[in-house]
Amino acid sequence: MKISFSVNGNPVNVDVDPETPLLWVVRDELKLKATKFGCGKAVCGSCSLHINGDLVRSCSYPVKYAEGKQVTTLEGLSESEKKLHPVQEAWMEINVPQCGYCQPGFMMAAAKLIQEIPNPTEEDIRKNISNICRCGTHPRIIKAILKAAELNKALIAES
Amino acid sequence: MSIQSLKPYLLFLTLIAFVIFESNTYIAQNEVKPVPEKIAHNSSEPSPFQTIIKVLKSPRCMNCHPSDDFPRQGDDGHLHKLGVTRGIDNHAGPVQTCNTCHQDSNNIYTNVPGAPHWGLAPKSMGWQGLTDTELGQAILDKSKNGNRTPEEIVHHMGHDALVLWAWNPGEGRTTPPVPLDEFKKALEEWLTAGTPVE
Amino acid sequence: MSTENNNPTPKKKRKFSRRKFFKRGGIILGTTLIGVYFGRNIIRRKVAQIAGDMDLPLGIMNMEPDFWFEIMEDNTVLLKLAKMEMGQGIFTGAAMIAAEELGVTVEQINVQPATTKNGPTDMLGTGGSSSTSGMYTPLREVAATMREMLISAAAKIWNVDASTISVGSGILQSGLQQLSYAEVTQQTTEWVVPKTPALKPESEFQYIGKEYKRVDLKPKVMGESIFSIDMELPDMLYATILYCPYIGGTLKSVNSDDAIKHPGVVKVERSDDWIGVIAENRFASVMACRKLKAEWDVPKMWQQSDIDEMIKPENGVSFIKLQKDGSIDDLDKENTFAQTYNTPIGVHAQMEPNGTIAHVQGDKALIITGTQWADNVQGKIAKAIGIKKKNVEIKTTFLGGGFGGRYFQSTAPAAAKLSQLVGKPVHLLRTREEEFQNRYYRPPSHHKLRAKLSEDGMIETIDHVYGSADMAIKANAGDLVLKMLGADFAAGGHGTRVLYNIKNRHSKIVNCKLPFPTGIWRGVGQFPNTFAIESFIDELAIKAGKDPIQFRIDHLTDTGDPLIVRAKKVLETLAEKSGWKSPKREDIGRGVALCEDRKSFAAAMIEVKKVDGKIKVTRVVQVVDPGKIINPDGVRMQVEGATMMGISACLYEATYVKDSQFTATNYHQYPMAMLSDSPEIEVIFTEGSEKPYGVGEPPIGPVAPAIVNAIFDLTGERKRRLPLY
Repeated sequence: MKISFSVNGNPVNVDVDPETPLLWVVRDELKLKATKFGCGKAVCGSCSLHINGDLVRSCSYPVKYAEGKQVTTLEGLSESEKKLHPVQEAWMEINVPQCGYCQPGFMMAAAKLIQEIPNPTEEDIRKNISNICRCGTHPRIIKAILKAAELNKALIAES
Repeated sequence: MSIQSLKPYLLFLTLIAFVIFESNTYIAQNEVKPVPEKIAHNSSEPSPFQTIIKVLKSPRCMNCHPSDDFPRQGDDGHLHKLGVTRGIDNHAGPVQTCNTCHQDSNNIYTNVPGAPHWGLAPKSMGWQGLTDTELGQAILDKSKNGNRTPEEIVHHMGHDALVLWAWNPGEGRTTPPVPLDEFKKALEEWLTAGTPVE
Repeated sequence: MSTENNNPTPKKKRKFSRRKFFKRGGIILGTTLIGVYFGRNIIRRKVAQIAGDMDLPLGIMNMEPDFWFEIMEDNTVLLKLAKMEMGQGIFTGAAMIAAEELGVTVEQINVQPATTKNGPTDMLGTGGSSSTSGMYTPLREVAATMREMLISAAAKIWNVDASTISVGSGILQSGLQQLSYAEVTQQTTEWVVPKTPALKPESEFQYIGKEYKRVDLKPKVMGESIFSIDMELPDMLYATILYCPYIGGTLKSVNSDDAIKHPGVVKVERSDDWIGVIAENRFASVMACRKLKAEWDVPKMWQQSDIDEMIKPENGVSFIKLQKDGSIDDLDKENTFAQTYNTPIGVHAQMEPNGTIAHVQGDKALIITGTQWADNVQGKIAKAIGIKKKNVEIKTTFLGGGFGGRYFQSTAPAAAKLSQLVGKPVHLLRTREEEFQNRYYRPPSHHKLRAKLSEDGMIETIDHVYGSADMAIKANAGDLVLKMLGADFAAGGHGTRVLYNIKNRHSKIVNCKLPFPTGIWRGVGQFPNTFAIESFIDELAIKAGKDPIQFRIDHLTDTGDPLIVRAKKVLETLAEKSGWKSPKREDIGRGVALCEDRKSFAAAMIEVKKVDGKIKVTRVVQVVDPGKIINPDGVRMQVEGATMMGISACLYEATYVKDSQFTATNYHQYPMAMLSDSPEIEVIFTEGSEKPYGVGEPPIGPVAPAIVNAIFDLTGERKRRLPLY
């Protein structure tokens, strides 16, 4: 089945089994590898991306539902390498990743969090992201999201 | 018995439910079990209302009609994994919503269940800990049921995509103990009989 | 400064006669040193301590010498590292160590995983918290040798005395003359390899000991394709494998009619013990694999109660006594305090599932895989598909977590077989369900501790008997060797000994045979042993009516042993800086624990409270002495990570055996610590040595016992079995 949608602002057309998880379409058809496979059960959050601005675990999202929608992956989060999204900038500053595998999913969740909760408390962060990290970067993720919210507010104030 | 006079009683029940929930057991757990075959056969045919109640008290319905703010999962009605809560407008959130994982249909790859407008029933439609009669009264109470007339509530129960999902819940999940056509028939008969809640 | 075009960087480089190079010895010296060093560190020292002159269970030392560095035209240096980056930050540490002696900045070093063709491989793999300690001196020596070669080459170009040349930031300078490393490399055809030069004194260190951000930070924040799951080869197919889901089961028959008809499926292949489905895309291979109808022969329906029995020391098959100081005879008499502790079966649950891309063409194979042990994979591929080991090229990538879960049971041999079958590259990826239900596990453990207190509340006699299954010896050398050696002292034995100077102290590890594969998991034996011993010490301290930290210090009597001095220092620092002595709220419980592992020390003070009826860890202070610290923030990360993993394993993690299957099938049935469990973590260092020791594992040790000790402080209830929930 042919399905058309946009990824990171670019229109794409794919011809695949409509039940194919968006995860595998993004990774293997569109070659955007930041979105990761972790569990295949919508539990770990490694495959998190945005669809029309909503946070979605793409292993559990058949590509047929993406028709006409706007998909954003980590590759499309920042405007450019020079102008990073506040979340990625904060991640750099706090030196967050260890193995790095779960981080794209966490960053996509974090981007949604600072948009929905512009002044998050630590408790807001703990309660609103259920992604899994095995290396134990949790303390730094919390710090980085607080930092990202600050950077984001500064950006908004500028513009 | 008017709703007014029931209030302290309901409050007490909710309190009990809360206490029991806090101690990690689940009051509705025993009640959700289908009526044993033996009893159903020994007595005369179950009334339409009894048939409806059997469905409403099945885990497929109860899990998303909690009286508190926590969705349940499984036939044992355990708390939804990952600490999911009622959130905004009964659809979790604001960061992770129901639709972060659940879409409009059951997922054949992840086996995550899905149906249109997946989410919790409003808190006013919380059914945990209610007796059959109370449950019947609750679904007819316009202040709790989304301002629906008996006709509308019966139509909702027989046609809503999320309600009907209970009979197509995806691999490994049990369906309500009454087939869908029998449930629909019972709904019509119940309406015709004037929606008695005994 | 070398040869083959096999590294992933697109930059051009100069070619040189590598052979000529290492025949002269300089770089060989470096690599050979590494081999001896690793061998001595991980295994030999242990064997030497335990079994005198006994030979190595791992006697293979035939490391292929190769180059570590290449100097690029843009004056950056490619460092090809045999140690894998799996999150522990070894690429960053190695870049700092190399930069220090090489005379370049850390930023000028580009670290890439070595492949079996273009760089040194490591016959012992990456693990055991040994990378930094093992590489510290040899890597400095290799880098210093390289620097001296560049200096003498420049001296020849300028016709000056080498002593007039200084280096810095990749620039050589003599008087007013300047050349970059790249320029000298381009102009040099004959190299003089010196004897290993003197190393920089610590006082002149520019980088070592300073805070550096990870060298792999940017690629990881930008989500670049760095993991093996991200790699692709042209015309690649996708494979999913069904292994027997039962312990000890074998494949009886399989009906693959439905699977082969599934759209996109190319081939279904039955091997002795697995069935592989090859398809045009990942979704098809997974969905078709689910359509396989396999029947299994299951010789016995194992239950958790069987496992619990088998792991009891009295049911073990062989043992080694690791400590036998004084006599424990009086423990049979009255006034003996005895307790039993248990830890469950653990799963690695690293975020990137194991997988391999294999391309077999005739008698050659290319393997791309994220493994902790490339050297081992190479041999296995050769055996699996009947080609020569030297014809197998292993390219490793960044690893999406390791924790011991990428050492054994490589997916590469099966991937190679499937590729050979279809004549195309095949990407085999395990499903998460396979990762949970069909692998090697952290063995459960059963500890029996007995002790006797003197009248003044000191431990007079202590005995620790620890029953567990193999973690490394059987997996490497077979069951027979394990039996000959008695038990797995090499990995599982960590932490079995009692650290405190007690006159009468015995400890022994008992080898219990389990029906499923078991192996290494972050902290190896140290995780269960520290839980048991440090819980027991806490119980004794309370029995003696003493402060738990002071009680421990009292038992670290100064014998002149530097290890004891360091242990004491760590505890004293913890008492002083963690707030241990400060007044606390009534709803808070505090506990401490100490751990020695691979000559590193970690002591933790943990605060817990009850939230909604459940124990929550709210604050952790870890005082860590890993010896010399290369990168403080790198060590901090490791301590934070080990703390989170320790909390996770203590509170939640376990899988159980039911009807010969493992109960956890995916993360939802194997709960782990999440953001909501993340406490405030403070890390304090005491650098007690000039040599760096490992830090990936030691700090996981004190976490679980400090938590249960804190719970006792809060509730008066003693938890002796993990996990708590």
